[in-house]
Amino acid sequence: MIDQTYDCEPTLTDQQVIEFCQKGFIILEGVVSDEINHRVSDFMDEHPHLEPVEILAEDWFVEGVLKNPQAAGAVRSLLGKDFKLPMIMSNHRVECPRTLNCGWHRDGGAIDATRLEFLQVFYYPQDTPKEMGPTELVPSSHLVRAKRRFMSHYGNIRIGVKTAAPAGSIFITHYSIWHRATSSTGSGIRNLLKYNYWRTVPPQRDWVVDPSIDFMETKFMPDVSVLEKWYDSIHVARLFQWLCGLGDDFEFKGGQSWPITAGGGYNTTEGLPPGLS
Amino acid sequence: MIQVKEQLQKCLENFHTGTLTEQDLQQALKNITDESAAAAKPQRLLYLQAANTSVTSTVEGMSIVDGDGVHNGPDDPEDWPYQTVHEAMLDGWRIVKFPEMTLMLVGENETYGLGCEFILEK
Repeated sequence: MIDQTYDCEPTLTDQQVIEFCQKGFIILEGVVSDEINHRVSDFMDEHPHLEPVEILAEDWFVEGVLKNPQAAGAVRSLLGKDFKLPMIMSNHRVECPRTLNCGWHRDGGAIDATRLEFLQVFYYPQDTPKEMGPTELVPSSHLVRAKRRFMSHYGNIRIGVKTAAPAGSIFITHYSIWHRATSSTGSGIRNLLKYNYWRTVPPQRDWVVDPSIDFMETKFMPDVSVLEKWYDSIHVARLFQWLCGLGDDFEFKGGQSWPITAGGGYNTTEGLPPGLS
Repeated sequence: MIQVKEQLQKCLENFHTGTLTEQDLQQALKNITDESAAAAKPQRLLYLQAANTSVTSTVEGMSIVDGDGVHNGPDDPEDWPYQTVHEAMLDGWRIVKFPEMTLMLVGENETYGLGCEFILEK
């Protein structure tokens, strides 16, 4: 069915949404059941091509993976209610070991925008330790301008995060996140399913809202980042504000004001947008 | 080049003293051959993305290109051969490109790529 939508209870809190804005991804470890993982692996053995869209017609897959309560709950938190379910399914299926490395890149279609209209999601149906070549991500890189052709010479990056995870793990990413395949030293088949969800409604702060949260006392600056120090918090705050439905015209006032001062314990609200005060 | 020059100087001295031997000349020829072989070695490149434009700032990313291809370096950053650009310089790497200063023009709040990239060669 084309453009099928889905709704469920959101699961992310204000703090977790901010963390997504900071890092550009959320890893949910082992959220899919072993039974579904085995069925998916078997299905992929029978459909070993790059885009096994046939699996989207399998109810057990839609219910167990695409509508998985924890994964869909996170998607619902970030994209709002009635989000569109994936219509394209890719599988980065590799036979390990392999030394192939496709290099850092943003996927085709990535745009530099404050908006979050869609999410790219990855799912490992089998255990994927470092030896099985997990995808590597660069935290905060979704906020960095870059062109794929100008990233190919990058090698190891200090803050890179390998998504080594047990079977049934799902990681939800901002589409613009820098990522790459990694070499594997293990043996056997490793499947990595990749698919997108889409927003259908304007953003609003309707995830798990913490009424006591103080956005002056909440740190927006990422713990690690490839952005300009201090200014990185501005990008994070701008995305969070947009997700709250407060528009994308947030303007940093400069100097010692929000969001640079956020989380620092300062006795000031300078620069804090009215919608977050 | 220094070895070649020194050997030729020695040959000249031996010629003046009447002690020049075939072995002296053979050694001079060998030195020239060795230096030519060294000069023919492929250029090696070291890409270091640093935290800022200072050569003493921390290396945030790295890759090496040599005759065997492109290498990402060790997985663990603590095992990278150089933690700063300066350490690489002390090991004989020569900077052939400094961080691209025009990237400062992309906007006050913007960052392009990994930023402060030094390219070095051996």
